[in-house]
Amino acid sequence: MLSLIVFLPVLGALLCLVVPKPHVRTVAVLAAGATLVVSLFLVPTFLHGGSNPADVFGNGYGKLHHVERAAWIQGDEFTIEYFLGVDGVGFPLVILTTVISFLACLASWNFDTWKINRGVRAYFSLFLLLETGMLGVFVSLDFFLFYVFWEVMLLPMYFLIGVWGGPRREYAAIKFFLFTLAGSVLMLVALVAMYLQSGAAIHEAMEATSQPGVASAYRDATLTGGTFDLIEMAVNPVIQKHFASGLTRFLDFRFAPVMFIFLFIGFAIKLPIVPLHTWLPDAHVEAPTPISMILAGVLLKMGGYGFLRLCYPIFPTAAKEFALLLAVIGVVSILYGALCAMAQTDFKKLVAYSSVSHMGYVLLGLAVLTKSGFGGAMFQMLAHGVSSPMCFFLVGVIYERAHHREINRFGGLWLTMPKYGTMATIGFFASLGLPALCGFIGEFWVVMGTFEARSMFTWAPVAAVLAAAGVILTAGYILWLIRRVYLGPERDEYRGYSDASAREMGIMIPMAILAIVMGILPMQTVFNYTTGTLNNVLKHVVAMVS
Amino acid sequence: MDSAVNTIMSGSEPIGRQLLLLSPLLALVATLLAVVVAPLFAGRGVRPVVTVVLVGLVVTFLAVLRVTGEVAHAGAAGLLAERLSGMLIVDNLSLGYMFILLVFLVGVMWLWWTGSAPTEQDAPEFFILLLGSALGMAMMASSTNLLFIVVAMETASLSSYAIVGFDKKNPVGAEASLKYVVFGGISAAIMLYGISLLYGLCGSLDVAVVARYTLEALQPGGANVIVLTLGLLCFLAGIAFKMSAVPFHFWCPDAFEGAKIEVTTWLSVASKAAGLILLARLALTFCAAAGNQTAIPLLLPLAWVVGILATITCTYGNFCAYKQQSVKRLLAYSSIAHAGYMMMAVTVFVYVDPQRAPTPLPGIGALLTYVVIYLFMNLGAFGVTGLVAWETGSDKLEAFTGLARRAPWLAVPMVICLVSLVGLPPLAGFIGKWWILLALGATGGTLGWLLVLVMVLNTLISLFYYMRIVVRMGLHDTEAGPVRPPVRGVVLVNVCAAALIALFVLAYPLKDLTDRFAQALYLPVVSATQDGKQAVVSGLPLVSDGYVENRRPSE
Repeated sequence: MLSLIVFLPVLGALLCLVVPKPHVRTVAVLAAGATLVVSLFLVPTFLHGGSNPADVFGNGYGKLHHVERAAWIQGDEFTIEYFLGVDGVGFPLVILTTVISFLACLASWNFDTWKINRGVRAYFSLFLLLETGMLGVFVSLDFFLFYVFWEVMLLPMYFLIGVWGGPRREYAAIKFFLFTLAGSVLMLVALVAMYLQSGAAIHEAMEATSQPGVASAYRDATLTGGTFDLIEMAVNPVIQKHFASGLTRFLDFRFAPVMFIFLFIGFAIKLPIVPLHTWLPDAHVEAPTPISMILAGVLLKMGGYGFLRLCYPIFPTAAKEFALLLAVIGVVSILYGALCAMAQTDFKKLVAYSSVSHMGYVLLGLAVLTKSGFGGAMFQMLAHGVSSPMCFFLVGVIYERAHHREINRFGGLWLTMPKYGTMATIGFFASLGLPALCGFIGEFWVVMGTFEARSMFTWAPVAAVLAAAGVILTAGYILWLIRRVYLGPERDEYRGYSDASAREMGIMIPMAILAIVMGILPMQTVFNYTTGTLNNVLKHVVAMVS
Repeated sequence: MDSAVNTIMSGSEPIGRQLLLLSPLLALVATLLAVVVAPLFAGRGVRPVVTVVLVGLVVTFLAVLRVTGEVAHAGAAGLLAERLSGMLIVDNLSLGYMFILLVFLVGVMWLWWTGSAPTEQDAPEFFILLLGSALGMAMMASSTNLLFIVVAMETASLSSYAIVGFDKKNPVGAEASLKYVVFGGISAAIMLYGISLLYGLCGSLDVAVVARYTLEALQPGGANVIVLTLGLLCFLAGIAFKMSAVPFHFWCPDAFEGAKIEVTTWLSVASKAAGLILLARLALTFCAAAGNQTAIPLLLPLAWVVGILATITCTYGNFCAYKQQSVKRLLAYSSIAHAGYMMMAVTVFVYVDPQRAPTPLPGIGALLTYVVIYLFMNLGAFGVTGLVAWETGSDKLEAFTGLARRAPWLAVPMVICLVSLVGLPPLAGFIGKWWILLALGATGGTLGWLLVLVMVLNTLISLFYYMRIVVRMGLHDTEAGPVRPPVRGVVLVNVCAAALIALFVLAYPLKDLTDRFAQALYLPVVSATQDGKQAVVSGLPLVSDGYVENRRPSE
């Protein structure tokens, strides 16, 4: 099932290379659509979990579903597995990816009318390859496989920005590539080191007990060598103890903090945090609209997902150690992103900086190690995954007509384009965090979680207050934006612009509906699926810390 | 163990068996002679020469296959060391290199067939030189004696000097050849000086004895350390020249740029690999001499020397590649960087513990895997460069502009090869790096982890210049019309690209294979040198049966 979801886009990509040119986009949309449909079959498994969390989120830190595992690169003591599975953390992100990819594919439908419209086959093939890479990251539970998918997504994205992007596309593309690769080479070092140290841990335990292998808490197998299994690394007490031990060294530094930092930098670049965010405004602004949607909607979430899958469960002690630092970075990202957004005159750049600000909440929510914080961070990722692609699409719609993005030159668009204006209001209010829309829940939960953490961290209330101030700043720049672009008297320049077409509405309405439903029914849409796993992760983290 | 070795050593081997073990090298020599003779009967055309060479290579291949079976069967390949006064050694490492060499020879011939064959006037001479250098390189991988190493390296070098300047009408090639000769001559002189020092100290040219002597000298209170160090460093300089390690690399970019593209391809892989195999063989011999865990720390300084050399080499190569305008020259610097990566694998040997026999496996296995993958990456990348140069008359970066549109069947494999050279999954270049990283990490030492960091940071640096070509091909465009290279060339580069994807998916079968070639290696056992005069060298194969546990990182 998961293999099908991951590799359906690749099949589509191959098909795109052979079908006649006019049909390429049809094939691509069908492939993305088929992936979406298949991914929806995952939902029933998790619906059931809503009523009976104990059943679904049983052992380990979250029972896995639709597990597929096979040895891929196997030596005597050495197994790199093809290991896929989803739990409450991976599953919503898979659905988000397939939904946003499908909508972004639809948004590419008018490829022929783009300014750079050569290489239609290459465009859609790379697009689908990118989808495979993203899905692979969210479902692979073997660290090596995870790393492979993480890198697979790099090259397609590079070309999608670099070939079909705006005027400064080349610079933006290489910057994106370089930043991400800088993070991932550190991840590679962590990959090698963690594998070797897990092996050392198991050998030590074997020598101590003179047992042939070390029984794992999460699967029946007995281990004799190191492991790449991400869940195993998090739940096997032997490995956990060894990782956390101060005697375990990496080049004379304590192992856990160093590995945590390596992984953290890799994911934080993706998230992105201030000051590693500078690739983001460039990439988002230069990328074509559908690619901006993917970038903001899905790619940024890979950073947050990485924290939840690797950093926190595997190195909980280091997470506690660095909590203050992470919270500071989170708060700075929130405020700095919001202030930068306020200063922008380029419509797309404003949305890009708002992403930096919004993702700061994710980091803050995780840093404080509370239930609400974790839940809020996860919700914020999904909410931002819906609202930011919508915002980018809204920008794209007007850019296609006006061919500029100067906020100050717009005005009164609601009167000119009423349907578009309505959608824009929903989209930007969702981003603002208006109650009853998706953005509110995530931010509120994070702020609440930060307050709750005051028993553990004395600085928590300060962080909460500052984060709450971020909400006000957000409201400031978005309301100001709406006033400048959509309200006011109709301008002659834009009179006669056609309103959003049926296709454009077809792309915006699903996102608008999601934004509203997630805002009104947060339990039924998100929390019921994620809470079990998140609580287990947190329980595990807290147990390890204390 | 000793008695077993002695029985093997004392039993006199029939001459037939010696010939059998030497048959791959003999077959190569026979092919070389056949190419010399063939034109007398069949004319100087391309076809007869290629036929003779191909037949010769097939025979050589069969011979290597036969000997591999023999070595695997015997489990002890040290026999020839004694027979030929410690001159030559046939074991899995040299056989593994022979396999790589033969495959690569065919690839280079294919490239030559695509580009140069139609206008080639001197096909016999070209192949005489090519096979001559191949023979020298094969001998380098088989030698355990300082004198023989010199002979092998000169055989390889002399042929290489001539083949670089083979195109007589090309003044750049002639200049490149001269530079190569000058640098090669100086390196050989330095190396011979080092060897003479070593001989004077140890009283033997056998590498095993030198290793033994070195270890004794390195012990507290050892004598002649300075002279010995000087000798070893001078000797190392000669090998570094072959590997084009910085600071002995100056010939490399010029020779690579001036030579015909198929020659460049040939030197970029075969010559470097020969140097690396030789270095690995020396490292192994030193480890064998150390004999046990207690003596191994003495080797650490040597490992640091190799490690620092590797670090400088790859960093320098990557930085210099950035500003190149000629793709050929850019790839030349890239090959310097890759030589650095491969040298890192050699440092792993320091942690070899002959008591726990198979520990050298990770290093040698990783090195061989890297060479195999590197072969396809370079063949593909140089192949595309050659095809573009033959069609457009230029190997400058500008010639690649808009290649994605003008010749997608060249651009796509080129992107694959370049990204593989960067070392990103899902391509084989990543797997090559991965095994080296893992082997380095598994040593658990400071040196190992520092080299891991050096390697990944260099990956990042290398991204810049490889992407410059990709940017030219994919992101820029010109008015120029499509490039229509010959089909056989397109097939070659696409086969290379496909191999890079396949070797990623089939990462384990490849590693398994190379690990098999990293087993049962010849490790000489030297009884103590008395008065630095005479030492007994006997062969002790490393057998990995009964091996149960990997070396674990130290706490």
